[in-house]
Amino acid sequence: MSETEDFLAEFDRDPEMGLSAIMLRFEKPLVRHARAVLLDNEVAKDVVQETFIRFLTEKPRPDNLGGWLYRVSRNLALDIVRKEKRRMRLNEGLETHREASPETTATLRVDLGRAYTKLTPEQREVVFLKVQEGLSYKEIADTIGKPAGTVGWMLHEALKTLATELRPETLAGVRS
Amino acid sequence: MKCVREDLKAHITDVIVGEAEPSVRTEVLAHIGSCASCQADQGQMTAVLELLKEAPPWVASVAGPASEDADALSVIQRQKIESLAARRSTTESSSASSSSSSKRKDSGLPASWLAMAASLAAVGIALMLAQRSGEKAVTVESPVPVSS
Repeated sequence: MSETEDFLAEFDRDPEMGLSAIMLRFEKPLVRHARAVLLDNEVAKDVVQETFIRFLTEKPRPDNLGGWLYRVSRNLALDIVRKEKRRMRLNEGLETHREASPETTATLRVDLGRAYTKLTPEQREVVFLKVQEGLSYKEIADTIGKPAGTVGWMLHEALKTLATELRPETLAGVRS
Repeated sequence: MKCVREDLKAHITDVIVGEAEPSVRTEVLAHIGSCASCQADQGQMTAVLELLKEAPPWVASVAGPASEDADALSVIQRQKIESLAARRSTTESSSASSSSSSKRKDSGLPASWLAMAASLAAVGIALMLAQRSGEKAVTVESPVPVSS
């Protein structure tokens, strides 16, 4: 029995218990995923809340529950980016937060954070799914609905942009 | 130091993240060995990936409170979802019990047929009673003499 079948069977037996198990497994990865696209923690959580509500109301029977949840979450997140044109405002807000960060790695974070905002939401999503979630090109392709070759190209372009935007001393610091 | 193999340059990332086909990987690595531009690109890409792992920009601590809970939904958000699940649970259990009780009552005939049969039975009983009471009345009203 696959993970998805286990989750759906438990959900059918007892929706409350089943949902708890599903949320335990997917809630935090989905929040991180939405945040990577939106660059806003609170909006990301709203997106994930809506994702679970859709799961409850639409009662889907997907072959891959995680893939279904990621797809719904990303569509909601990208809708927000498109419709409300939040991106610029969020980026500005994020940069302000980062410049005020008191952490010891603040310089690194500020530099990378600034470079990261130069990526498109789709590029940010691909970078997140590859680096954080460790998904294969194929798995990312299934999630975002694009061919695996396109995923590789998007990742390559994203890394090139980051390399261009980062200060040379930041990159040199990593390599030394 | 401009690279003339742009087709291979595009696969440097695939090689670094372990997604390149074996034949492409071999070709790219052979090319990188003799191309300073692609060597530099490989170094940059690898450094960027390491940087992303070291200081992921999507981690909540960058833009908000630094804790594990930063990745979790708020209590209110969870309650909204859980109450919806509880409603679904209640709805499904009540619909399941009503469907099982209707199964118990189901005789296999349509309800309209049963109603019609009941009506016919009632009419039949009424006619029978009326007939009996009619016979009694006749007996009373016009008694047949037993003897002359």
